[in-house]
Amino acid sequence: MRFSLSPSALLLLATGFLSLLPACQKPQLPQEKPQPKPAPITDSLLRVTATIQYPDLLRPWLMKQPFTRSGLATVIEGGRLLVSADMVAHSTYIELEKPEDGPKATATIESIDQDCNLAVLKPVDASILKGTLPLRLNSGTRVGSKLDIVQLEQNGTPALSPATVTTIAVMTYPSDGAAYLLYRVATSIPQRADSFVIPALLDGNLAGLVIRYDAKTQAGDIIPAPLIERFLKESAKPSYKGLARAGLDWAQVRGANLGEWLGVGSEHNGIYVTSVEPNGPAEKAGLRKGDFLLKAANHPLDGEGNYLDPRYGKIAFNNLASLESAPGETMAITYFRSSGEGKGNTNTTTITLEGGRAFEQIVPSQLEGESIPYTFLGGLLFEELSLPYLMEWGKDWHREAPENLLYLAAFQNELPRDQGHLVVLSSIFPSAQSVGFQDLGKRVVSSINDREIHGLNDVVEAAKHPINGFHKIILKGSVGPIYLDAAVCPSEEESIRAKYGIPPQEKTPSPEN
Amino acid sequence: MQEPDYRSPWDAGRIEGGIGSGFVISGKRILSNAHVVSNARFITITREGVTHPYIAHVRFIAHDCDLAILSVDDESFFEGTQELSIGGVPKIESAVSVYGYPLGGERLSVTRGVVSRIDFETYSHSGVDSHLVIQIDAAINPGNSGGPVLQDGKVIGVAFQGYSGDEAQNIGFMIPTPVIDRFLKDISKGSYTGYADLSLSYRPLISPASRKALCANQQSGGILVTDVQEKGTSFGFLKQGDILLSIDSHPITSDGRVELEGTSVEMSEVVERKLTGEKVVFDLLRDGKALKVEFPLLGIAPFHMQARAYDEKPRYLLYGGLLFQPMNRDFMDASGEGDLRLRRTFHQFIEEHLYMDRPEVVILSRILADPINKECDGLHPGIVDTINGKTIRSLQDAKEAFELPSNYDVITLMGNGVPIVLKRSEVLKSTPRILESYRIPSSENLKP
Repeated sequence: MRFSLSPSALLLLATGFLSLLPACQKPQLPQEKPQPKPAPITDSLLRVTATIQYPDLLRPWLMKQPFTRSGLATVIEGGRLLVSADMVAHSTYIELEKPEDGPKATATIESIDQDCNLAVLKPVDASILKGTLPLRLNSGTRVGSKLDIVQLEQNGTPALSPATVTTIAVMTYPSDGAAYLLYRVATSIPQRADSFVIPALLDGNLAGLVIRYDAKTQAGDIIPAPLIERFLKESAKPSYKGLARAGLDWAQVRGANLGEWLGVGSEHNGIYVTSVEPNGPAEKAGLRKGDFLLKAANHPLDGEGNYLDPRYGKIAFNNLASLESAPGETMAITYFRSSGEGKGNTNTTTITLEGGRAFEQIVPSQLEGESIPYTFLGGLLFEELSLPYLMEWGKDWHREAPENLLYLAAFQNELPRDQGHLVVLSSIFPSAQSVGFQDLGKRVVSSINDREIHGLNDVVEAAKHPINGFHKIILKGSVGPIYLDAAVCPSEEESIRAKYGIPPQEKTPSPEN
Repeated sequence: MQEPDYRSPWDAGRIEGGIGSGFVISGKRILSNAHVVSNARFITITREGVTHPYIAHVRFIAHDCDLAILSVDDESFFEGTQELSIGGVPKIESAVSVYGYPLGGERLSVTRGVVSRIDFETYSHSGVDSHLVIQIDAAINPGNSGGPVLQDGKVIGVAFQGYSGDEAQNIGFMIPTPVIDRFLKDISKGSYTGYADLSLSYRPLISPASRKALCANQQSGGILVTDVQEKGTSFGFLKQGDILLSIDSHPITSDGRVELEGTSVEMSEVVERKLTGEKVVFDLLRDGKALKVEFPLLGIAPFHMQARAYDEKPRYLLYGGLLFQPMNRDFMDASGEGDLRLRRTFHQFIEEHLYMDRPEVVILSRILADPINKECDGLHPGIVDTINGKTIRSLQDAKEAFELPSNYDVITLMGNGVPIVLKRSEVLKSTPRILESYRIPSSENLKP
């Protein structure tokens, strides 16, 4: 027997084994094991290939061409696997494979959150996990830590790329607008297969998932272990809607002028609340636009919205909600009221944090569910406006998509609070009825048959109540009403569906809005 | 000529030269294009075959229809010249000759072409005005502009715009005589007023359901008024939902055209040929009842904002290194198109009646870095909502708001942003310093 292990490696081995053992079994002491070898990282990885099919939002009855993404899934406790959400979102089929050619198995998504870009998979047949070791999370990463980024060679041997953590900060995630804690590393990752998502290790344990890498700047982005830990904990609850949020937007305050003018006094730093989400956590706690936030969870804030984190230094205070708290927990806020009733007072209130980010949005930033809701009225196709809808205009959608729709999406928090969802007259199929208004597509509907439209369900409902035998559709902007002959609409829809090969709709839009 | 830089509105622009053509008409006047002489600081005219250039001046200039009248100080210029008279509208397929100096040169160039199409087209000089245009199958090149197009010895148009070779070939456009006649009539009173406009939006009434629903029991014809711009010509006379059946007794088709002198043209051509103050008569249906409405025509103000400006100094106000400029076509072309809020405000200014609340949209367009504004970085461009509590509806408002007594200057922009706060005493100290270090001659130009 030869012992060539260093004490630290031995410790690593011990923890790995302990976690694998079922609770009822008496743990064996590792020292008694003959010939202990370090568990190779490949024992904790499976290749994952997802076949992804995005819906076509401009033709919502269709799916676009399928394509595949492949990456590495990390085995975690509970017979589960961890990947990034964008690895498997909109997938029609997920396949797992051992690093060295071996059995394959399909998997299903146990939980997914596109905002924090994490998903947990479960193999349909657990036998693929035989002989694997769950990887533990290591939250010890700090600025300057050396990580190992893992890829697999074709033959299954691990290929490690060293990485140095350069920044730990709250930064934007791939899902438009969401910002959480993120590690940025300096590294050089070679082109290899199965790299859409790959793990990063700290001392052999999981430090995070690499979700972005830019070969030009040699910078990579890693979803950090603490955030993964929070996601795993919260997403196990059936009520999970997303990580905790305070429901307010804020702006940095540079310099002392604003504070002096408001009367906060130049000795205080803080940030300026630019809007509160209607009926959101901050508003319920009494905060409003113009308040000057001085402290969050008893941490003083600086003018850039940072608190002093004991591990990472200055971190944007959003992190106190999303990472340090669970939905339903509270966060104390000290603020200065700069206008209206109570002007000039410094108060403390308690925000009860809520889960999720996208749920109250007028223009949703991502699609929920499998199919895209739409409805026809004669040859007119109606859909709800969403960010993915605008993204159908391609890479330059920020410029190319219709300006009125872009504007409504960008400044949706300036719309009336009871706006609901925006319905777009997405397409006008040429027909005898639509002659003369075919140029009116891609506009937002304000009313149908004198009923205000706050979502697709309103369209379905309004369509049941034609006025004097006509459907009267009013669009935003000065373009006048569109009239359709209500008696002709059903047969027209039928003939358009037949002509353009549009299958009959299985279900009407979801009744939730 | 000199074209100002709307990004640095105090900069009068680089000095450049340009050439075009022109021709003599009655009254010792020279007719040319507005774009040939716009922003000109000095103009000379050279006669065919005469080496000596004559100094000329712009007497009248119409940027909305791209025409100008020049005069020459030295009367000897006109010796031996022959006035050209203005003819009518040529027939489709008839031959015409284009005279001018394409790409410069000293000798007159003549090109023959055939009239291909007569229709409404945007006049690219202002970028917003549409008038009647005659398309011919002869290329019009830079230098041709302002030259006469003749048929049977009479002017039937002024050559004025073409296409670059990438887009189309052998297509040229000329300004037809109804536009020239209107221009000459407009200036006959001693100044140029410009086009009248109905200031309304309408849609064709083609769809059978729309016709049935709106009780337009007419067999055919009629258009639907979808918007009447407040403060515009039709405001108070026409209403949203009116169905216009005829204009000055010319029946309007369901796609909004009328027949004039045997050709089908857009309804607005009837208005195009009138001067402001003249009247227009509509037969219309309102709530199913027939009505006759008559009202005088007004100009297109307040809708000039979307047109390019010429012979004007850009207006601006510089305060604490913050540059405030009115939104207009030239500003947007120079710098504003990148910002979604600015773009949308510009494009929807009329359709969404934004001009009612903000006759002039004031933009915080630039920040000239200085210790005074170190806290403002990244806050531009934005549309100014209020300054020191005063709602800003013009550049003059901004000027006045900064003169209100206060220790602080507070600027809020549209949207959910943070107010910009400057200390008044520091601003006053900063002004000479900023003007000096950025070599800016004046901290404001409030008048064009």
